[in-house]
Order: sequence, then structure tokens, then C-alpha cells
Amino acid sequence: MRSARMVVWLPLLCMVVLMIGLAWGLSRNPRAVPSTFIGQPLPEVAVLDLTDHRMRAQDWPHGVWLLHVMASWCEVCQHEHAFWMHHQNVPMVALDYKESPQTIQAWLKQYGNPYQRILVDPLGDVAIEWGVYGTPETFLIDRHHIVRARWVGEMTTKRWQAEVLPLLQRWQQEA
Amino acid sequence: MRWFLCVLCCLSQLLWAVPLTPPQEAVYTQLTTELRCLVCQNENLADSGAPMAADLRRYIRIHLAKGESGAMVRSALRQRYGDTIDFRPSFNGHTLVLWVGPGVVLLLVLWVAYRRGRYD
Repeated sequence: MRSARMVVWLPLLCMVVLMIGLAWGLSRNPRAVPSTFIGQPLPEVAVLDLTDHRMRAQDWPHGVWLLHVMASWCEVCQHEHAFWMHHQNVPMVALDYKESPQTIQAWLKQYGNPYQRILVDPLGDVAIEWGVYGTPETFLIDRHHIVRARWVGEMTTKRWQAEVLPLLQRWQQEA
Repeated sequence: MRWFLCVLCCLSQLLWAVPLTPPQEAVYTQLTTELRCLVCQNENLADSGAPMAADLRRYIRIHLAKGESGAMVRSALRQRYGDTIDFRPSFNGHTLVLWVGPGVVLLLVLWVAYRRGRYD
């Protein structure tokens, strides 16, 4: 008798669980694929910078830095550019995705260059090696060259303050 | 004539940039139908028109031509893009709920129905 009365509440319980599950599901972005390199370094690949210098481990910035996958033909990146021009408190390296070095050079000359170094990937090969699937993408990399986070899509002030800054400070403090 | 030959050569270069043997071609077809395009996520690499899918197809071609097996190429891509790239998710800790979940729910429902049946 007791358990029969309990059973009456079962549908309500199921409903509540289902609603919580659905609310959680709706608040997520199902298209955002997590980076598989979180907690490990990016694979070493042959990548050149704008001066045709082949990058080696010692060429990466010291301390915590951001790797920004972008291209001047990418509209979101164009829109995002002003944001990066105002947030130059952390070293940034660009990976110029699928365009000629001349194009990005001219574009940065016109709109300003927030990057310490610009790597070129005219065919998109490096991007595949690093698990990139679109532009823009922003990787947070610590002083030991370990990837700590990746953001897909446009970087906004809101995202920067809520998601990037806390992680940036955390990994900058870490010895 | 020379100009024509030149154009023909360029075209053939574009189309058959990476030649594969017939068995490799079969593996290529299988991989590109079973792997997901990450840009338009409901399409596989073979059907997708996204430039990114073309790059991944080229990646698969190059690696197969180097003599790597289909399993090697698949696991290399999974290492870079995670389980998402596979239309048929592998069975592991992350996908446990996906594979086992429906069965568990079904068993639960059957169990409740059985219990109710006994009360009535």
C-alpha cells in the first residue's frame, strides 16, 4: 500500500528529471567540439612564420600565450579583430588559415597587428594536425606548451571575462 | 596543342593529385562515408561540400597513399578531433551512457511494469 502510493509520484519525478536534462541540453552548444589536446602539447609539425622561419619549440612565446587561428577572409575574424587590438595583455600567435602570406601581411598592415608572430597555413594542413575545424579558434597554452583550453567562434568581452581571464590568471600563477 | 596539353596536365593534377590503388580507394570510400564533417555536422566527409571536408578528404588520401591502413588514419583523425568525427561512436567511458543507457531504461520500464502487474 505504502509503495503503491509512492509510485503515484513516479511520473512527476521522471518529468522533473527529464526537464532538468532537457534544460541542461538546451543550454549547451552541440556543435562545439572539445579539443582533444587539452592537457597535452599540440603535435609538432613543420610550420613556417611570415619570415619563412621554421618554428621550433624555443620559438614559442615564454609564459602563457594564446594561439589564434584566423584568416582575413573570415568575417567573424574581421569582426573580432577590434577586440584583439584592445586586449594585448597576453602574447598572441596567429595561425593564418588558408590564405597567402602576402594577403595577411597587407591586411594586418591596414588594420593593425596584435600578434607577436604569424604562422602561415596556406593549405590548412597544420590546422588539421592541431584539430582545428574552423576559424576563429583560440587556444590557451601554458608555459610548458600544454594546451589548457580552446574556444571556438568569436571572442567577445563577455566570453573573455567569464571564461578566458580566470583560466589565464590560473595558469599564469602556476609555476 | 602545347597549351592544350598543359591545361590537361593541370586538370589531371587537380583531379588525381593523389593516386590510390583500388583497395586503397575502397578504404577511402569507406572512411569518407563513416567520418563526420565537423563543419556541417549532419553530413559525412564524402557528401559534404564544405572546404574543410575537402581538406580532410585530401588528408585521408595522402595518408592512405603513404601506405597507412584505414584504422590508422581513422585513429589519427580521432586523436585530433575526438569521438565526434566518427558517425559510429566507439565504445568507451565517454560513450557508455549512449550505448548502455537505452537498454537500462528499457529494463527499468519492464521491471516497473512487471511490479505493477503483480499488484493488479
